[in-house]
Amino acid sequence: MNNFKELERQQSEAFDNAGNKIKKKLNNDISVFSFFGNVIDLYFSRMFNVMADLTSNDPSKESDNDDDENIDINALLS
Amino acid sequence: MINLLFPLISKDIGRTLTDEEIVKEYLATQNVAYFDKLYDRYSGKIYAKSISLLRDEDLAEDAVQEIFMKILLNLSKFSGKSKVSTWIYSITYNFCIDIIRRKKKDPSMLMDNFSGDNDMIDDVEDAFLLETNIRRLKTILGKIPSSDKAILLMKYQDDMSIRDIGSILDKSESAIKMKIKRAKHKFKTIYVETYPD
Repeated sequence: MNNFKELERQQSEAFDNAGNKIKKKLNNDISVFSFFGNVIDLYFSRMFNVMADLTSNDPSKESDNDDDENIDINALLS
Repeated sequence: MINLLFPLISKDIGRTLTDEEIVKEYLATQNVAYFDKLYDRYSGKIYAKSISLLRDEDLAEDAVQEIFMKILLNLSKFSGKSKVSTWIYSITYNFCIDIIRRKKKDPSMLMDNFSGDNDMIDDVEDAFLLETNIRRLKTILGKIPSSDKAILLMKYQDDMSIRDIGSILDKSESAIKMKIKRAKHKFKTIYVETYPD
């Protein structure tokens, strides 16, 4: 016999209605977090690369990009 | 967003998984259904502890939400050295203790605020506490200091080991044994004062 556990059980049961409300709020918070997480993953890493490209004046990279562009245009034309 | 990525998640997910497996799966997949499962298993217990310690329904409900946010944000730091339940309860107790400290502006909460020789205190049988009827138990827990209440809940409600309690409260095992002894004594003293029959 452990009435500490019984007390916990009774208090837990009293929480059922409020519990569902809180669960919904938490799920919303999780959705918001993952949305911003995805935005950061998708765009910030690309923005960082773009910024890095813009700030570095590496001519070889520029020529690489030119080649890529030519290939794409040729592919489109064919 | 995650719900959109996992549209066919069954509500039965994790039914047979242990807490440790649920945490592992959540971290691997970020599937919110695993987190829901943890919520279903622990929200009631967290609420019960919060209401016992904070003695205010609104505060306790807010506490549940904030504790779960803490769990969510720190899940990746869970090392697996302790059981998931112990880890969750340690977040719960520390959160509630923090609120009580701020509310009462009492920095001595859970400090060694007793003086005197421990040997002078009589040992109280576990059965005396465990078999106290629910109504009286609620009354006594409402009267004893939060520090004693937290220790008693950890020991008798959560079956925590002395070592686990010590790590939550950042105390040595001998200090925890002494605190438990004193908390039990306090419980009996208040019981006898409240119910002299």
